[in-house]
Amino acid sequence: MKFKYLLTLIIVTLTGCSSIYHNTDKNTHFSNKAIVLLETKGGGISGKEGLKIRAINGRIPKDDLSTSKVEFKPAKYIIEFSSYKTRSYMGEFLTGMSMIGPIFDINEIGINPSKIKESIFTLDLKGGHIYLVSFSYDENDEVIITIEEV
Amino acid sequence: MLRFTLFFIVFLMIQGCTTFKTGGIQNPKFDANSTKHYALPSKDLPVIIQYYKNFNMDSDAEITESEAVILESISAAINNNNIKFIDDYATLPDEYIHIYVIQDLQDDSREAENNGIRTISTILNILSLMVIPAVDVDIEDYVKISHIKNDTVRKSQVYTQKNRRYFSILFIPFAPFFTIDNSLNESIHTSISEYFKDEV
Repeated sequence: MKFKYLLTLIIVTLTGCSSIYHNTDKNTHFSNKAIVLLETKGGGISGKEGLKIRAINGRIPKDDLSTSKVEFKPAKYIIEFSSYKTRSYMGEFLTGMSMIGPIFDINEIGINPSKIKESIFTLDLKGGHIYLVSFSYDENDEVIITIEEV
Repeated sequence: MLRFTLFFIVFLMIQGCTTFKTGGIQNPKFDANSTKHYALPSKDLPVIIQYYKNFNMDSDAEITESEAVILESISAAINNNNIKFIDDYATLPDEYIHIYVIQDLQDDSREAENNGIRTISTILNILSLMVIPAVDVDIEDYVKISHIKNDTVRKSQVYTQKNRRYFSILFIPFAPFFTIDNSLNESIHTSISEYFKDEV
Protein backbone atom coordinates (compact mmCIF):
# COMPACT_ATOMS: atom_id res chain seq x y z
CA MET A 1 0.00 0.00 0.00
CA LYS A 2 2.81 2.39 0.93
CA PHE A 3 4.54 1.57 -2.32
CA LYS A 4 1.42 2.46 -4.31
CA TYR A 5 1.21 5.90 -2.73
CA LEU A 6 4.90 6.53 -3.24
CA LEU A 7 4.72 5.44 -6.86
CA THR A 8 1.82 7.86 -7.48
CA LEU A 9 3.81 10.62 -5.82
CA ILE A 10 6.84 9.99 -8.00
CA ILE A 11 4.87 9.73 -11.26
CA VAL A 12 2.99 12.95 -10.61
CA THR A 13 6.09 14.81 -9.53
CA LEU A 14 7.98 13.77 -12.62
CA THR A 15 5.32 14.27 -15.25
CA GLY A 16 2.80 16.84 -14.03
CA CYS A 17 4.13 20.13 -15.28
CA SER A 18 4.76 21.99 -18.50
CA SER A 19 7.30 24.80 -18.61
CA ILE A 20 6.67 28.52 -18.94
CA TYR A 21 10.34 29.24 -19.68
CA HIS A 22 11.59 28.85 -23.25
CA ASN A 23 15.06 30.38 -22.80
CA THR A 24 14.63 32.29 -19.53
CA ASP A 25 14.35 31.22 -15.92
CA LYS A 26 12.45 32.36 -12.87
CA ASN A 27 15.20 34.80 -11.88
CA THR A 28 15.07 36.74 -15.15
CA HIS A 29 13.95 40.31 -14.59
CA PHE A 30 10.76 41.50 -16.25
CA SER A 31 12.68 44.01 -18.34
CA ASN A 32 14.84 41.21 -19.77
CA LYS A 33 12.06 38.93 -20.88
CA ALA A 34 9.04 39.01 -23.16
CA ILE A 35 5.91 37.32 -21.88
CA VAL A 36 3.59 35.64 -24.36
CA LEU A 37 0.10 34.90 -23.03
CA LEU A 38 -1.99 32.39 -24.97
CA GLU A 39 -5.77 32.51 -24.91
CA THR A 40 -7.94 29.56 -23.94
CA LYS A 41 -11.72 29.52 -24.18
CA GLY A 42 -14.34 27.26 -22.64
CA GLY A 43 -14.09 25.39 -19.39
CA GLY A 44 -15.62 22.55 -17.45
CA ILE A 45 -18.93 22.26 -19.25
CA SER A 46 -18.06 22.71 -22.91
CA GLY A 47 -14.45 21.52 -22.94
CA LYS A 48 -11.57 23.85 -23.67
CA GLU A 49 -10.05 25.13 -26.86
CA GLY A 50 -6.93 27.18 -27.18
CA LEU A 51 -3.58 27.81 -28.78
CA LYS A 52 -0.17 26.43 -28.10
CA ILE A 53 3.28 27.05 -29.46
CA ARG A 54 4.14 24.28 -31.89
CA ALA A 55 7.52 25.42 -33.14
CA ILE A 56 10.04 28.17 -32.47
CA ASN A 57 12.37 29.14 -35.33
CA GLY A 58 11.31 26.00 -37.16
CA ARG A 59 12.11 23.64 -34.31
CA ILE A 60 9.72 21.85 -32.00
CA PRO A 61 10.75 22.82 -28.44
CA LYS A 62 12.36 20.08 -26.35
CA ASP A 63 10.33 21.05 -23.28
CA ASP A 64 6.59 20.69 -23.08
CA LEU A 65 5.64 24.38 -23.10
CA SER A 66 2.67 25.79 -21.23
CA THR A 67 -0.52 26.50 -23.18
CA SER A 68 -1.20 29.68 -21.22
CA LYS A 69 2.11 31.53 -20.78
CA VAL A 70 5.62 31.30 -22.24
CA GLU A 71 8.57 33.60 -21.53
CA PHE A 72 11.31 34.43 -24.06
CA LYS A 73 14.59 36.32 -24.10
CA PRO A 74 14.13 39.49 -26.16
CA ALA A 75 14.91 38.67 -29.82
CA LYS A 76 13.26 38.04 -33.16
CA TYR A 77 11.50 34.66 -33.37
CA ILE A 78 9.49 32.79 -35.96
CA ILE A 79 6.73 31.21 -33.92
CA GLU A 80 4.29 28.63 -35.20
CA PHE A 81 1.03 28.19 -33.30
CA SER A 82 -1.31 25.23 -33.33
CA SER A 83 -4.79 24.87 -31.89
CA TYR A 84 -6.10 22.21 -29.52
CA LYS A 85 -9.38 21.09 -28.04
CA THR A 86 -10.05 19.11 -24.88
CA ARG A 87 -13.08 17.19 -23.74
CA SER A 88 -15.45 18.57 -21.13
CA TYR A 89 -15.10 17.30 -17.57
CA MET A 90 -18.27 15.29 -18.09
CA GLY A 91 -16.76 13.69 -21.18
CA GLU A 92 -13.56 12.99 -19.32
CA PHE A 93 -15.49 11.42 -16.50
CA LEU A 94 -17.35 9.12 -18.86
CA THR A 95 -14.16 8.07 -20.61
CA GLY A 96 -12.29 7.58 -17.37
CA MET A 97 -9.83 10.34 -18.08
CA SER A 98 -10.77 12.70 -15.30
CA MET A 99 -7.90 11.59 -13.11
CA ILE A 100 -5.08 10.93 -15.51
CA GLY A 101 -6.04 13.33 -18.30
CA PRO A 102 -4.87 16.55 -16.65
CA ILE A 103 -1.52 14.99 -15.81
CA PHE A 104 -0.56 13.47 -19.09
CA ASP A 105 -2.54 15.81 -21.36
CA ILE A 106 -4.00 12.77 -23.10
CA ASN A 107 -7.41 14.39 -23.06
CA GLU A 108 -6.34 16.17 -26.22
CA ILE A 109 -6.26 12.97 -28.20
CA GLY A 110 -9.20 12.14 -30.38
CA ILE A 111 -10.53 15.66 -30.91
CA ASN A 112 -9.74 17.30 -34.21
CA PRO A 113 -8.38 20.78 -33.64
CA SER A 114 -9.59 23.61 -35.86
CA LYS A 115 -7.54 24.72 -38.85
CA ILE A 116 -5.56 27.90 -38.46
CA LYS A 117 -5.67 30.40 -41.31
CA GLU A 118 -2.21 31.84 -40.62
CA SER A 119 -0.18 29.95 -38.03
CA ILE A 120 3.39 31.26 -38.48
CA PHE A 121 4.32 34.71 -37.20
CA THR A 122 7.62 36.59 -37.11
CA LEU A 123 7.68 38.39 -33.80
CA ASP A 124 10.24 40.88 -32.57
CA LEU A 125 9.82 40.21 -28.86
CA LYS A 126 10.98 43.07 -26.63
CA GLY A 127 11.95 42.92 -22.99
CA GLY A 128 9.37 44.23 -20.51
CA HIS A 129 6.55 43.73 -22.98
CA ILE A 130 3.60 41.39 -22.86
CA TYR A 131 2.26 39.79 -26.03
CA LEU A 132 -1.41 38.91 -25.93
CA VAL A 133 -2.31 36.11 -28.31
CA SER A 134 -6.05 35.79 -28.96
CA PHE A 135 -8.11 33.87 -31.46
CA SER A 136 -11.50 33.95 -33.14
CA TYR A 137 -13.18 32.01 -35.94
CA ASP A 138 -14.00 33.14 -39.46
CA GLU A 139 -17.04 32.07 -41.49
CA ASN A 140 -15.27 28.82 -42.51
CA ASP A 141 -14.58 27.93 -38.87
CA GLU A 142 -10.89 28.58 -39.36
CA VAL A 143 -8.93 30.07 -36.49
CA ILE A 144 -7.78 33.66 -36.90
CA ILE A 145 -4.92 34.57 -34.55
CA THR A 146 -4.34 38.12 -33.41
CA ILE A 147 -1.30 39.26 -31.43
CA GLU A 148 -1.18 42.51 -29.49
CA GLU A 149 1.95 44.02 -27.95
CA VAL A 150 1.45 45.77 -24.63
CA MET B 1 6.94 9.28 4.09
CA LEU B 2 3.30 8.26 4.25
CA ARG B 3 2.81 10.38 7.37
CA PHE B 4 4.46 13.31 5.61
CA THR B 5 2.11 12.94 2.63
CA LEU B 6 -0.94 12.64 4.89
CA PHE B 7 0.13 15.76 6.77
CA PHE B 8 0.14 17.75 3.52
CA ILE B 9 -3.21 16.35 2.46
CA VAL B 10 -4.80 17.40 5.76
CA PHE B 11 -3.06 20.76 5.60
CA LEU B 12 -4.36 21.46 2.08
CA MET B 13 -7.89 20.38 2.96
CA ILE B 14 -8.01 22.76 5.89
CA GLN B 15 -7.20 25.74 3.67
CA GLY B 16 -10.64 25.66 2.11
CA CYS B 17 -11.22 28.05 -0.76
CA THR B 18 -9.60 31.38 -1.23
CA THR B 19 -7.34 33.55 -3.37
CA PHE B 20 -4.41 35.21 -1.71
CA LYS B 21 -1.43 37.37 -2.59
CA THR B 22 1.99 35.85 -2.91
CA GLY B 23 4.37 38.73 -2.38
CA GLY B 24 3.73 42.44 -2.66
CA ILE B 25 3.01 44.49 -5.75
CA GLN B 26 6.00 44.68 -8.05
CA ASN B 27 6.90 47.70 -10.10
CA PRO B 28 9.59 46.47 -12.46
CA LYS B 29 10.67 50.10 -13.07
CA PHE B 30 10.21 49.56 -16.74
CA ASP B 31 9.18 52.56 -18.74
CA ALA B 32 11.10 52.20 -21.98
CA ASN B 33 8.30 53.80 -23.95
CA SER B 34 8.08 56.87 -21.76
CA THR B 35 9.60 60.21 -22.55
CA LYS B 36 12.56 60.92 -20.29
CA HIS B 37 11.12 63.88 -18.43
CA TYR B 38 7.52 63.77 -17.50
CA ALA B 39 5.08 65.23 -15.06
CA LEU B 40 2.37 63.15 -13.50
CA PRO B 41 -0.88 63.39 -15.43
CA SER B 42 -3.97 64.97 -13.93
CA LYS B 43 -6.60 62.58 -12.64
CA ASP B 44 -9.18 64.68 -14.49
CA LEU B 45 -8.06 63.32 -17.86
CA PRO B 46 -10.28 60.78 -19.66
CA VAL B 47 -9.41 57.21 -18.73
CA ILE B 48 -9.42 54.47 -21.35
CA ILE B 49 -9.54 50.89 -20.15
CA GLN B 50 -8.57 47.69 -21.92
CA TYR B 51 -8.79 44.22 -20.45
CA TYR B 52 -7.34 40.86 -21.45
CA LYS B 53 -7.37 37.52 -19.72
CA ASN B 54 -5.85 34.40 -21.17
CA PHE B 55 -8.57 32.08 -19.91
CA ASN B 56 -12.09 32.98 -20.99
CA MET B 57 -13.95 30.49 -18.87
CA ASP B 58 -17.52 29.76 -19.84
CA SER B 59 -18.53 29.36 -16.23
CA ASP B 60 -16.78 30.47 -13.10
CA ALA B 61 -18.55 32.35 -10.37
CA GLU B 62 -15.30 33.98 -9.31
CA ILE B 63 -14.63 35.93 -12.49
CA THR B 64 -18.01 36.63 -14.08
CA GLU B 65 -17.98 40.24 -12.95
CA SER B 66 -14.39 41.07 -13.87
CA GLU B 67 -15.20 43.95 -16.22
CA ALA B 68 -17.53 45.53 -13.68
CA VAL B 69 -14.89 45.07 -10.98
CA ILE B 70 -12.26 46.78 -13.15
CA LEU B 71 -14.52 49.74 -13.86
CA GLU B 72 -15.52 50.01 -10.23
CA SER B 73 -11.99 49.82 -8.82
CA ILE B 74 -10.59 52.33 -11.33
CA SER B 75 -13.50 54.69 -10.66
CA ALA B 76 -12.85 54.41 -6.92
CA ALA B 77 -9.15 55.20 -7.35
CA ILE B 78 -9.57 58.01 -9.91
CA ASN B 79 -12.49 60.27 -9.11
CA ASN B 80 -13.48 61.09 -12.65
CA ASN B 81 -16.72 60.83 -14.66
CA ASN B 82 -14.94 60.01 -17.90
CA ILE B 83 -13.76 56.43 -17.34
CA LYS B 84 -14.76 53.97 -20.06
CA PHE B 85 -13.66 50.85 -21.89
CA ILE B 86 -12.00 51.56 -25.24
CA ASP B 87 -14.97 50.25 -27.23
CA ASP B 88 -17.15 52.98 -25.73
CA TYR B 89 -15.06 55.72 -27.33
CA ALA B 90 -15.90 56.69 -30.93
CA THR B 91 -12.60 58.57 -31.25
CA LEU B 92 -9.72 58.73 -28.81
CA PRO B 93 -9.10 62.05 -27.05
CA ASP B 94 -5.80 63.93 -27.59
CA GLU B 95 -4.69 63.34 -24.02
CA TYR B 96 -5.73 60.48 -21.79
CA ILE B 97 -4.73 57.92 -19.22
CA HIS B 98 -4.63 54.41 -20.63
CA ILE B 99 -5.02 51.49 -18.23
CA TYR B 100 -4.47 48.01 -19.61
CA VAL B 101 -5.47 45.28 -17.17
CA ILE B 102 -4.07 41.85 -18.00
CA GLN B 103 -4.84 38.69 -16.05
CA ASP B 104 -2.72 35.60 -16.43
CA LEU B 105 -5.11 32.88 -15.29
CA GLN B 106 -3.32 29.57 -15.37
CA ASP B 107 -5.58 26.90 -16.83
CA ASP B 108 -3.07 24.19 -17.69
CA SER B 109 -0.77 21.96 -15.69
CA ARG B 110 2.20 24.30 -15.94
CA GLU B 111 4.81 24.41 -13.24
CA ALA B 112 3.85 26.25 -10.10
CA GLU B 113 5.85 28.98 -8.44
CA ASN B 114 4.91 27.80 -4.97
CA ASN B 115 7.82 25.43 -4.51
CA GLY B 116 5.86 22.82 -6.38
CA ILE B 117 3.15 22.61 -3.79
CA ARG B 118 0.51 22.44 -6.51
CA THR B 119 1.82 18.98 -7.24
CA ILE B 120 0.73 17.98 -3.76
CA SER B 121 -2.80 19.16 -4.47
CA THR B 122 -2.79 17.14 -7.69
CA ILE B 123 -1.86 14.11 -5.61
CA LEU B 124 -4.74 14.97 -3.31
CA ASN B 125 -6.98 14.83 -6.37
CA ILE B 126 -5.75 11.42 -7.34
CA LEU B 127 -5.59 9.85 -3.90
CA SER B 128 -9.15 10.89 -3.17
CA LEU B 129 -10.28 9.70 -6.64
CA MET B 130 -11.51 13.24 -7.40
CA VAL B 131 -13.70 13.29 -4.28
CA ILE B 132 -11.64 16.28 -3.18
CA PRO B 133 -11.35 18.39 -6.33
CA ALA B 134 -8.44 20.48 -5.18
CA VAL B 135 -7.21 23.27 -7.41
CA ASP B 136 -4.10 25.28 -6.75
CA VAL B 137 -3.00 27.76 -9.39
CA ASP B 138 -0.88 30.86 -9.77
CA ILE B 139 -2.54 34.02 -11.06
CA GLU B 140 -0.66 37.10 -12.11
CA ASP B 141 -2.25 40.53 -12.57
CA TYR B 142 -0.44 43.04 -14.80
CA VAL B 143 -1.64 46.63 -14.75
CA LYS B 144 -0.03 48.93 -17.30
CA ILE B 145 -0.81 52.60 -16.77
CA SER B 146 0.23 55.10 -19.42
CA HIS B 147 -0.20 58.83 -19.87
CA ILE B 148 -0.64 59.51 -23.56
CA LYS B 149 -0.66 62.96 -25.17
CA ASN B 150 -0.86 63.50 -28.93
CA ASP B 151 0.00 59.84 -29.57
CA THR B 152 3.16 60.09 -27.45
CA VAL B 153 3.63 58.02 -24.32
CA ARG B 154 4.61 60.43 -21.53
CA LYS B 155 4.79 58.07 -18.58
CA SER B 156 4.20 54.35 -18.66
CA GLN B 157 4.55 51.81 -15.88
CA VAL B 158 3.68 48.15 -15.48
CA TYR B 159 2.76 46.82 -12.06
CA THR B 160 2.52 43.13 -11.34
CA GLN B 161 0.85 41.31 -8.48
CA LYS B 162 1.09 37.57 -8.02
CA ASN B 163 -1.80 35.70 -6.46
CA ARG B 164 -2.50 32.12 -5.72
CA ARG B 165 -5.91 30.52 -5.84
CA TYR B 166 -6.58 27.52 -3.71
CA PHE B 167 -9.77 25.55 -3.82
CA SER B 168 -10.71 22.50 -1.84
CA ILE B 169 -14.40 21.87 -1.63
CA LEU B 170 -14.54 20.13 1.73
CA PHE B 171 -13.93 23.11 3.92
CA ILE B 172 -15.72 25.88 2.04
CA PRO B 173 -17.94 26.80 5.01
CA PHE B 174 -14.85 27.64 7.02
CA ALA B 175 -12.90 29.33 4.26
CA PRO B 176 -12.04 33.01 4.00
CA PHE B 177 -13.67 33.34 0.60
CA PHE B 178 -11.64 35.88 -1.31
CA THR B 179 -12.32 35.57 -5.02
CA ILE B 180 -10.13 36.21 -8.06
CA ASP B 181 -12.16 39.36 -8.72
CA ASN B 182 -11.42 40.54 -5.17
CA SER B 183 -7.70 40.11 -5.73
CA LEU B 184 -7.94 41.88 -9.12
CA ASN B 185 -9.64 44.82 -7.42
CA GLU B 186 -6.77 45.09 -4.93
CA SER B 187 -4.13 44.84 -7.67
CA ILE B 188 -5.72 47.68 -9.66
CA HIS B 189 -6.19 49.88 -6.63
CA THR B 190 -2.59 49.43 -5.46
CA SER B 191 -1.20 49.96 -8.98
CA ILE B 192 -3.04 53.25 -9.45
CA SER B 193 -1.97 54.44 -5.99
CA GLU B 194 1.65 53.66 -6.88
CA TYR B 195 1.42 55.44 -10.23
CA PHE B 196 0.03 58.62 -8.67
CA LYS B 197 2.12 58.34 -5.51
CA ASP B 198 4.10 61.50 -6.17
CA GLU B 199 1.13 63.52 -7.28
CA VAL B 200 1.06 66.96 -5.67
